[in-house]
Amino acid sequence: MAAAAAEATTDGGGKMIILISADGKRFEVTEAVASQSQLISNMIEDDCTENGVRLPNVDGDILTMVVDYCNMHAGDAAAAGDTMKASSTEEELKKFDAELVQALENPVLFKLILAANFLNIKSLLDMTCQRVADMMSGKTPEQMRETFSIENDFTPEEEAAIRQENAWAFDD
Amino acid sequence: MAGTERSRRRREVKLRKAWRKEAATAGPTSVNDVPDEVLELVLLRLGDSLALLRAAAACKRWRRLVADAGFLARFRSLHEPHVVGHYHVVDPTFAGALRGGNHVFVPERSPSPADALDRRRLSLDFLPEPDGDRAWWKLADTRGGLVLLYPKTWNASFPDMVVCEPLTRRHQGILRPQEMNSPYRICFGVFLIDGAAADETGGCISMSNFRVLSAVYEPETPYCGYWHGHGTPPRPRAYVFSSGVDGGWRESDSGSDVELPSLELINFVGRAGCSLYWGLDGKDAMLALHKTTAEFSLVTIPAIVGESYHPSTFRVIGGGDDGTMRVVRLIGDDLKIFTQLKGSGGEWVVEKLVRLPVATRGLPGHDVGLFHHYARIVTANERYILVTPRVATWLFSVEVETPVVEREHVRNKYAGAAYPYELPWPPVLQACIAGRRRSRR
Repeated sequence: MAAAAAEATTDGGGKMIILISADGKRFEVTEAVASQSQLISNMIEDDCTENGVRLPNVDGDILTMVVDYCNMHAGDAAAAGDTMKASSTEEELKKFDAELVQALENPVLFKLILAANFLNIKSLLDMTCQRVADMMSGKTPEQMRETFSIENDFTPEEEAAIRQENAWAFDD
Repeated sequence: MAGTERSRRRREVKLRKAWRKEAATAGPTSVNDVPDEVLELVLLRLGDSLALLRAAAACKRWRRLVADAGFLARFRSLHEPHVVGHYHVVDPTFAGALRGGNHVFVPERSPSPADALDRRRLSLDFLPEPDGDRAWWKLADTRGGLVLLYPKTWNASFPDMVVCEPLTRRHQGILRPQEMNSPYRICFGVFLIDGAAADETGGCISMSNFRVLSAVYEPETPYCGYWHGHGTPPRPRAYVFSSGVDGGWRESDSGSDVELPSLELINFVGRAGCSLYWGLDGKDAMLALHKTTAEFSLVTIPAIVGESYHPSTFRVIGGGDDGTMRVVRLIGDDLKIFTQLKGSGGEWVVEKLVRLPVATRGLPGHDVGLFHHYARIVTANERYILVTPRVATWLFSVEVETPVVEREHVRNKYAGAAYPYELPWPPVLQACIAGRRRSRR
């Protein structure tokens, strides 16, 4: 096949893939990096990445974070057999992951979740969902609504019934 | 390939749909833009049922997702029910007895879901007064979010009991079985056990399906007719109470040919896995009662484990290989944990050894004289063993896994067993669940 036109080859020998964000930004990544997305991995298998992969619902700034994440984690699978290497990078990875989600504004965090879900990158989805769950814990329902801009769609009567049903869970 | 072609087209459709959806969304991206299946992934990561109940009170969508039986089952499979604290029972034979009750609730160390609970909810003050002059409830057992109690004034052969769920302030009285009005049969242990089957959310015990297991001593039948010749020796009997419409007491039909010594020689020594154990003074065996089959059996104790047996120096705990039982002994000044090796021989060996007078040196209030008359076990479980010298109540705990010996821990203030208390599972979620029948309780 003559599909190799848009697929540059890196020094390491892996094929390169172009990801194109909603706002037209282009990201060149190796197959190994891109394959952490199950969606793209399937596309690679089906040979439909030759003209670049358009991701019309992922903004450039979000895709930047996703690509950074995938670049950082691309070593995971490769290093699995090499325990020394895996353990030396594990701490770095943890630090990188923590910093990635820690400082995010809510809209960005949820965009990242949507992107991770759409691209089907399980580890990134797990991490971002955990971040949201951590933000929920220890909060009252009112605080949760405030944190996540959720509208209270219960009537006062309904809310009273809900609280009464498990009064012990709403003491503070 | 046709399959490849099809999947390519499916993905193109998916991309186009995603494009349209993005275009239709207004305002900053929020949790409201996250599809249900992803929001579920978030909710599954909440730590405990208290956080879950609060999330279910935030809005209708969250409530609908949390109340789904399939979701609750997944949540339960990921999270063990949370132990929020322990009910400590205080044995009045030791110094430091409590007034007006034998139990006190001690929450888990912070941070824990217990931090958000009002402690008063766990005080059991909602229970009706038991019959009798200046009577109060004695705690007998806990399981999940439930507590089993009987009146302090229990002097009949079998107590009336009450089972309650402190957090929801519900309780159910349990009258003794009819045949127990006979003064000859005597109850020597009551325990809360799981319902016959787990519900669809993985809930094992609740106010609607709990059971109570009762061990009953049936004295020897005297010679009672010229054709019998001999009487029968004392035997154990098991009775099981089930809650619910078809509930009530039933004698377990798994009959037992175990022979017991006289009642005062039988002492409860602990639990491990699915079984409850009693020491039998003067016998080289323990009495075991299986919680699920309600069957009694005798478990032989080898001489090195049973050496100079006394109920105050002998306890059974779990946590051995494959969850088997281990035996904790105080022999002389030594605390020993015996475990049975796997394999054909099933040999018993000393897994841990702590020399008490030495190990306690340096603890506040330590005195060499404390161990002149040896020590006794107050209570033991898989985590720690609570010990006091015989000459004075001077409680200290010995960790089972590490040899840490300490006095400071809050659990060491109460001379008695500690019963774990969990947040109830499944959570009650009936209010405002539109158009769907909830299978709760």
